[in-house]
Amino acid sequence: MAVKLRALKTVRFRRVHWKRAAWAYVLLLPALTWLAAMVLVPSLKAVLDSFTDLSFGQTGSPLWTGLDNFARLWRDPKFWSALQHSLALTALVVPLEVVLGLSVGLVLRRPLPGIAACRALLLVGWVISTVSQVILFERLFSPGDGYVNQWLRAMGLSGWARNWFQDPQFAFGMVAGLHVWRNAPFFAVNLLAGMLAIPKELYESARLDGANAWKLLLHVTLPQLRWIMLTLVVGHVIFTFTDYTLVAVSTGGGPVDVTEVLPLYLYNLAWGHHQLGQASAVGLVMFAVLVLFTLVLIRLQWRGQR
Amino acid sequence: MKRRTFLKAAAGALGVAGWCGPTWGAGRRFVFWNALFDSYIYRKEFVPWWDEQIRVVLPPYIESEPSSALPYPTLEQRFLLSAFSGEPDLIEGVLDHVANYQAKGFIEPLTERFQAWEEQDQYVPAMLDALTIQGQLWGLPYIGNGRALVYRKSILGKYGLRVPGTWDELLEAARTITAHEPDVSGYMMTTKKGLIRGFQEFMSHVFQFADRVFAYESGAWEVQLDVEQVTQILGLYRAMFEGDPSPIPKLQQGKAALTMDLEYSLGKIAMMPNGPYIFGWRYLSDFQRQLLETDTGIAPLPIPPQGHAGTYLEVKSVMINGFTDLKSEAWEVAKLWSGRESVLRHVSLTGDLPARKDVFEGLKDLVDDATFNWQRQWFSILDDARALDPLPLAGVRDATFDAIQEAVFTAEPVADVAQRLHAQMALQAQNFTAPVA
Repeated sequence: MAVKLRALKTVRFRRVHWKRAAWAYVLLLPALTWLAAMVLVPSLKAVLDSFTDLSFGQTGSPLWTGLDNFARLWRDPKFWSALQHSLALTALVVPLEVVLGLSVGLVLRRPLPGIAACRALLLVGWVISTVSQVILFERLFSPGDGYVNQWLRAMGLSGWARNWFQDPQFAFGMVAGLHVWRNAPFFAVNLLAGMLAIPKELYESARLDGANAWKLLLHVTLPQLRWIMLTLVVGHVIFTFTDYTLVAVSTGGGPVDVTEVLPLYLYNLAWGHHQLGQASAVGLVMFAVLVLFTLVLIRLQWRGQR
Repeated sequence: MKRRTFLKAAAGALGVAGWCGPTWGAGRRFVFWNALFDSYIYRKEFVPWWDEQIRVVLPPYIESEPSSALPYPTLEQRFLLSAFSGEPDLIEGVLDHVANYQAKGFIEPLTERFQAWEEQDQYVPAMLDALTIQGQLWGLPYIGNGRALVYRKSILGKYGLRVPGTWDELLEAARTITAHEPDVSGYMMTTKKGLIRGFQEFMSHVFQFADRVFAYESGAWEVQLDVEQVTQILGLYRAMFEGDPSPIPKLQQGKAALTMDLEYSLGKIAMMPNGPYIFGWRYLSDFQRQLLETDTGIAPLPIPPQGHAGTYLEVKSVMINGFTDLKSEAWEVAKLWSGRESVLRHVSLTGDLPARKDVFEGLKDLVDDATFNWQRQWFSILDDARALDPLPLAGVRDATFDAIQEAVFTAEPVADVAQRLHAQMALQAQNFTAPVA
C-alpha cells in the first residue's frame, strides 16, 4: 500500500514538475526567440561570411573561399601588430582596473563623513558618453593648454610637456590610462556593493581568531568578492578587447600604428575597404580569443574555490 | 455568429487597423539623407525654407519625411546597408561616395535627365566632369571647394613677411612666426592618422606635380607621379617638424583637422591649407567673425621646386538611389537642392563655392559683403583645382596615412617611405577597372 502511494506521489510530482517546466519554457520563448533572431542568427551568419568573399553591394552570391581570409590575415603584419596591441592593452588595463577599483572600494567602505557623496560622484565619469569622456581626458592632456602640460610648465618642467596622445612613446600608455580612468570607478562601485554585503560576523570571528587588517582582506573580503570579481573581469576583458570608440576617438590608431587595435583593423576592413568576409574573419578570431580566455578564467576560478 | 464572437472579431480588426493605420494612411514617404542638416545654422536658416519648398515639388500623395542629417561616414555606412530597400530616395555626398556607390550599382545615372534639363548649361564643367564615371553623370553638383593657403594678414604683416609663394618661403615664414609667437603655430597640417582631410591635403600637393594621380595608359592604370616627387611631398611633411624652432611646433604632431579649424578661427594658427568651409566658424563668436571676415587672406598653395600651381577639388552632389521607385520625384528634389535659390543659400551658409554659374554671376547682389569678398578670393583657386579620379581609393588612402605618419613621427629616410608609398599606389592601381572607351 505504502509502495503504491509513493509511486503515485512520484508520478504526480513528475507531472506537476513537467507542467511547471513546460510553462517556464513557454515564458522564456519570446526572449529566446528574440535572442536567436538578434544574436544567434547574425553570429552564425558572420561565421559563414568569414569563409566567403562577401563585400558591400556584391552582385550575386558571395563565393566560398575556404580559409583564404584567414590565410590573408596570417600574412598581414598589420593584423599581428593589432592583435598584439589588443592583447597587451587588455593584459595591462584589466589588472590595473581591479587593483585601483578594489583600493577605492576599500576606502569608500569606511563610514567617513561625506562618503555617500563620494560614492555617488564616483559614477559621474562613468555614466557620461564615451566620446565625451575621451574629449575630457584629452583636454587634460592636450599639447598646448592642457592642464597636465600647464602644471609641468608651472613647475619648471617644460621639457616634459608633450603631445601625450600623439607621442609614439606615450600614446599606448595614454590609451591604457584612458581605459583605467573610465572603468576603475565602475569596478570600485561594484566591489563596494559586494563588500557591504559581506556578513559582519565573518569579520568578527576572524578578528577573534587574531586576524589583522591584511589577513581580513586576504581571507575574508577577497574570497567573498570572488564571483563579483569574476563577472567584472570577464566583462571588462571583453569590453577592452573589443572596444573601438576609445581608441578611434583619441588616437585613431596612430601615431605610426602604436595604438592600432583589432576593432579598428576590423572596422577599416568593413567600412573602409568594404571587405565584409575578411572583416568577419577578424571577428571570428577575436571571438575565439575571448572564448578561450573566459574558459581559462572560469576554470582557474573553480579550481581556486576547490 | 454569437455576439461575443462578433465583438472579439471586431475588436481584433480594429486593433489591426490601429496598428497598421499610421503606415497605410500616410501614403509613400520621400526620404532624403544629407550631412548638412546636422549643423545648427542649417537647421535654423535653411531647413524651414527647404521644408516648404519640397512640399511644392513633390506630388500631394507623397509626404516628405524630415530629412535625416548624419555625419558623412555614418551616412555612407547606412546607405551601403539600406540602398537595396529603396530608402533613402535621394542622398547627398562627396566625390568619394559617388565612386563607391556607382561601383556597387547603388545609384542611378543622371545623364539623360540632365541633358533634357534646360538649366544644364548653368553648371561648372569641372564639377560635372568630376561626377562623370564611364561616360555617365552620377550626381548633380551643388557646391564644391578647393584647398588654398589660408593665412592671417595681421601676423604676416607684423613680421614683414610676404605671402609665401614657394615651399621654401612657406617653411621660413612659418618658422619665423613660431619662433616669435609663443601661442601661435606658424603653420599647420592634418597629421592625425585616418582623417580624410589629411589625405585631401596630401593630394593637393600631388596635384602640384601632376594633373591626375592615376591615368589609364597602354591597357593599365599607372601612377602619374614618380618616386622623387612623392619624396618631395613627404619631405615637406618632415621639414615642417624639423629644426629648432620647427615651422610647426613639435607638440602639434598628429593634429586633427577639426581642431585645426577651431584653433585657426581662435587665432592660434597663422597659416594652413584649408577650404572655404572654414568661413562657417564665423557664426560662433564676434572674435571668430572678425578674424575670418577681415583678417584672413586666401592665396594659392605655395609651389614646390619643379612643381606647378595645383590643388585638390571637392565636389558635393546629390544622387538618386538606383532602387527607389520614386526616381522622377527624386530628380525633381535633386533639381531643387541644386537649383539657383538653394545653392545660393548653401553658399551663404557654408562659405563653399557654388556649382552653378548663375550663382557666381549674381552673387554680389544676393549675399552679404563679407560672403561676397570671401567667395571672390576663392574663385581663382578653382582654376588650378583637380578632382580625384572616381576610383576605389581606400587602399591608396591607407598607404598615404601610413606614409604621412612615418614622415612625421619616425626618423626613417623619407626616400624609403616614399618608395613604399609609390609601390603601394602602383599595386592598388592594378585592381582598378578599365574605363569604357
